[in-house]
Parts: sequence; structure tokens; C-alpha cells
Amino acid sequence: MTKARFESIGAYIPNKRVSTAELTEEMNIPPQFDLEAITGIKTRSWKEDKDDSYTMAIDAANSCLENSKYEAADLDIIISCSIARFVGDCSYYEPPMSLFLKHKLGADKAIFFDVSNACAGMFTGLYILESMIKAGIVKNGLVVSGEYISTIAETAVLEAKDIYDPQFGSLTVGDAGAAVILDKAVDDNDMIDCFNLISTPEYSELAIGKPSNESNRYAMYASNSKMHTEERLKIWPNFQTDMLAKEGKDFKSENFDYIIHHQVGSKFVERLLKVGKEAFLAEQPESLNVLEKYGNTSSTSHFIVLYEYLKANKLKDKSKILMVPAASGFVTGFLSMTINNLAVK
Amino acid sequence: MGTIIKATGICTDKTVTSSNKNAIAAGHQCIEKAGINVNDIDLLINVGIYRDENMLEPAMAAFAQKGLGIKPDYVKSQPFNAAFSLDMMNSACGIINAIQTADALFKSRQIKYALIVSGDAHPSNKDLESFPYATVGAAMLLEYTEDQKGFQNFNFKHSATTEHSVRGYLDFNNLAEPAKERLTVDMPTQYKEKLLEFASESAEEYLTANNLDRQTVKLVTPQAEEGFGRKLAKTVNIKDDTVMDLYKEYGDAHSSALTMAYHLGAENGFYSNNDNLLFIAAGAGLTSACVSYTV
Repeated sequence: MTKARFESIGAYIPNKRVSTAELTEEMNIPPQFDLEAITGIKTRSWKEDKDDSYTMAIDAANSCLENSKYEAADLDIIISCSIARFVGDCSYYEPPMSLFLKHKLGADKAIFFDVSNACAGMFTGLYILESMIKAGIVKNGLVVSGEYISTIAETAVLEAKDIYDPQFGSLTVGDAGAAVILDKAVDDNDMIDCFNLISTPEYSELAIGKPSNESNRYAMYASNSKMHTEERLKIWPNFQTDMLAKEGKDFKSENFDYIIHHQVGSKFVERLLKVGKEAFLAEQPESLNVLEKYGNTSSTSHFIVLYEYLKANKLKDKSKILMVPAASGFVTGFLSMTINNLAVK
Repeated sequence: MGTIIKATGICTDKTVTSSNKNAIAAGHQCIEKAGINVNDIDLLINVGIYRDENMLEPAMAAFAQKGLGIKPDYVKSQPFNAAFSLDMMNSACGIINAIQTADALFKSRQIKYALIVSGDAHPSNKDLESFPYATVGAAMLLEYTEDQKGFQNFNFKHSATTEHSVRGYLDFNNLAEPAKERLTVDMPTQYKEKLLEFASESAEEYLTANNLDRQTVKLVTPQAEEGFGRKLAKTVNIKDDTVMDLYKEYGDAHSSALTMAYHLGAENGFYSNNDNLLFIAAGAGLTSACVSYTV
């Protein structure tokens, strides 16, 4: 069957940075904890006044098109995947964000829809697009997310009380746009090898994003200690082991060069690497991270990491990369791919 | 070979005011009717637009998956117990995008059943006049068959600008109610008229392009206002005797409209084996989606 590949990638990272110290200094109740030490996040990317979900998605899409052989008019489909869908101060339900993007980009023939799946939004869009390419329904497509999510950090600054507060995790987030174009693979050097996602909603009520009860902003209420138990974290390696076994493979034989985890915080990434090592009985590949600079940019997180490493030319030729989502729901899985010609100008 | 409807379900219970609960109730009815094991559902897509409490995350589909008991957790050594769920949003056309997505997954991955659920409600779960849509739920279970049946020839169309579109959003500048109970739905006065024109134009193009027999094809239409489907049928010269008109009883079921129209049409005995149906969705954008279906 046809394979798909990452044809191009783009990003919009606002120039503005907010340091962890700046954020915690503003908190109504001074924190009794060292947030930077706990999360490894020194600064986070922060939207500028001109930015919202829509403009960040447009900027990321244009960046992606600059790195692509395709023009907007060539696109068969656009899938918008951000958690919030802000145009100005309004968060949209209809028309979908993808239609606004399509009009602005001039992607005249593209079909379009939005997906919403928490921090796994871009993985969800890519999963659908990869399936459509394999099924011969489309030849290419753009998956994009303009993630303006720092509003939940602002709410946490006003409302979070201590490290056990359900809004504590919101202090990690940053804003960014990311975009990926997929098309058919032409050789083994650039292709998505294996891609599976799983939703395990038994504990879906443990992480809820919605307007705050106390102020006029979105807030995120997450019981991280319950959500990130070792048992929950093990779903990823157990699922990947089982899926690989169906094809007669195992983690070791995949020979991954790099692994990209969700950029929730350095301790979270370390825990996942440990859980992975124990469950797969295999050393983990080199872990790529940008959380120290940009924080957790939610649905764009993994793709900002990939973009930054490509831009800095830090990946070896014909890299085999494993990406592991972790999102409210709880959604996880794995996207493994080989990249050789994917480049950022 | 094609993606076919195994069963449908709806919830029109007026005491159910939550979009999630409506979607789950419709899902239960659908699964029961299909007589399948829920563990055979591998994909769940929620196409509802307006959410309880303006929730952002997780996907509302996660609550539906849990509420329906579809493989809510992953247990090692049972490698086939995985399901994936997501929300898909494209106004009233999301149902057709979701059917096409399920079709893509049937063709490219080994999934057995896909369930599409929907439900719209005002975020406050109150019955407010400012909310123009019906608080109902619908569910459609899909499977793949080797027979020459099911959905074929998906087509999507949108207007050149969003000038005449309905717009639904949470406005953080408007402090009238707490944000979790706040919603603005701006519906231009000519919206429904323009939507009918646009849907008719799309249907006309589709019928011609796909050479469908207007004497026999049966329409499954939006329910944007009373008589919407009948008027649509008339403009494209199709008999309206099997067009469901649900507006008077239920209102505009929006993201649930097509599933509900099909469900009640089937209950009325309107569709027989090998009948050709044309599903037409139309909503914000303006956007329309057409797909033919062989029963």
C-alpha cells in the first residue's frame, strides 16, 4: 500500500518570551515551589498583540508552503487542529477555522474541516490525512494548528494556589503555530513507517479545559498526579509493543535515532523515557526537546521540536524519528517516520 | 465495495439538555439496534459543534467513548482492544467529512466499525431562544462491505466569501453571562434563504455531474427551516414524497440533521434495497456536501 511522507514543515513562533520567574512573580498567591526546577521551562513563547489562533495558523501555513514544492492552490485538503479557535477575542465554533484559512491562503480546491483532540490535535489531523492519502482519496494536504493557549497560563497566574492546584500544569504552556504538508512517499528515505493512535477515556474527566469559574478566560483543570501515574504512562509502550508485535517487530529492531515526547516538562519527559526503557527492555533514542525555550506549545509541541532541530541542521541524514503524543482524553500512540529530504529554509 | 450504514440512533428526549448526553443516548440506541459488540468499534467521531459549558478539551468524543463503554482503557496483552476517538467540526457538513474519514480508515487500516455521534446544545444547557438549533443527538454506525453499495462520490463546495454565513462563537469581550454559559450565534436575516439557494445549486451540479436518475433518487436533506428539504427537492426536480421534514417537531437538528432524517426516513419505510439516496448537507460557510448512497 502507498506510504505517506512529511513533504514539508513550517512554524510560527512568536518573538515574545515570558520567563517562568516573570510568570510566578505575577501570581496572586506566591508559589511555594520552584516551577523552573520542576518543569525545566525557563521561558515560554508568548503571543504578541497581533497574534491569535487564526493569524498563527496562517503564518505557520505560509512558512510550511515556503518549504514546500506545493502552492496553496495545489492542496487537496486543509485540516485545522488547534484547541482554541480564536479570531480576535472570539473563539469560533462555526464556520470552521479551516475555512477561514482556506480563503486566506487561496487553497481553492481544498476540502476542509477542523479537528479537536486536545494536545493530540495535529497527530489526529495527520492520522486522518495519512489514511486519506493511503486510501487514494487525496494526494496531499496541510495539517495546521495556530495554538493560542497562554490564556490558560494567565488564568492560572490569577487562580492557582499551590503545586497541587489543578491549574498548576497550565503554567507550562506557550503559544506557537505549526504546519505539516503530507504527500505520497516516493522512496524509503522519506516516509511515515508506522502510525497509530489510541484513546483511553476511562479517566477523561481528569483533564478538562473550559472557561474559568472565576474569571473571563479559559482555564485548564488537570489532576496531573492521577493522570500521569506509571500505569497510565505505560499505555504508550504497551500499545506500541503490541502493534509492532503484530508486524513481527520490536522496539529495538526499529533502530530509532531520535524520540520526541510531548513538551509538558523535563521531569515528565524523563519519566516517559524511563517507562519506555523498562517496558520495551531497550535503551531509548536521543530525546529531542525545546521546552526550555518555548514551553509546552500543546497541539504544536512535537512539530515545533522537529522544526527547530531541522532548522538548526541538527539531525543526521536518513533519521528515524519516533513521536509520542500525550493528550487529555487520554490520547497517546506513536508516529514513526524516516526523514532525509525534509528541510527548513 | 463501500462504506455502508449498519444502524442509526437518535435521542429527541426533551429532558436531555446536554449535548454529550444526547450523543451518548443516540449512540446506545444505535449500538443496540446494530446488535454488535461495542469492542468491535475502532473509531468514534463526534461531529457536534456546540458543547456543554463551552468545553475546549478533551475531545467530547472521549466522553462519548467512555459513556458508551467502547474500550475505555488499554490492557496489555489484549492487543486488539484499542479505539481512537476525535471531534470533527464543520458546521452541519461535519457528518459528511466524518463519513469520508471513516471510509478512508476502512480502506487504509484494519478497522471493523466506525461510529459517528453528534449533539448540539447551548453551553448553559438551557433552552434559550437565542440558540437556533435543536438539542437532540444522533448516531450512525458504519461498516465496510465488499458489495457495490454504500457511499460514493463525495463532493464539497463552499461560497466565495463567508458574507452570508451564520457565525457561532464565544465572545470574551461580552461579559453578559459567565463564559461557560455564554454563546453568540449571529444568523444573518437572509441566511436560510441563501443556504437553500446554495444547497440547491450544489445538488443540481452533483445530480448532473454524477448522472443520477431524478425520477428515482431520494433526498436526505438539512432541516434548517420548515419545508427546507421539500423546497430543495422542488428546485432540482426531484419528488418530495420521501423527503423528511422534521423542523416543525424538532427544530434545526444542525450537526444531527442528516442522520436524524435518514433514521426517521428508514423507520417510515422510505428506503428499499438498492435505492439510490443523495445525502446533502449545508451549513456555515456557506458550505455544502453531497454524497450518494446505495442502500
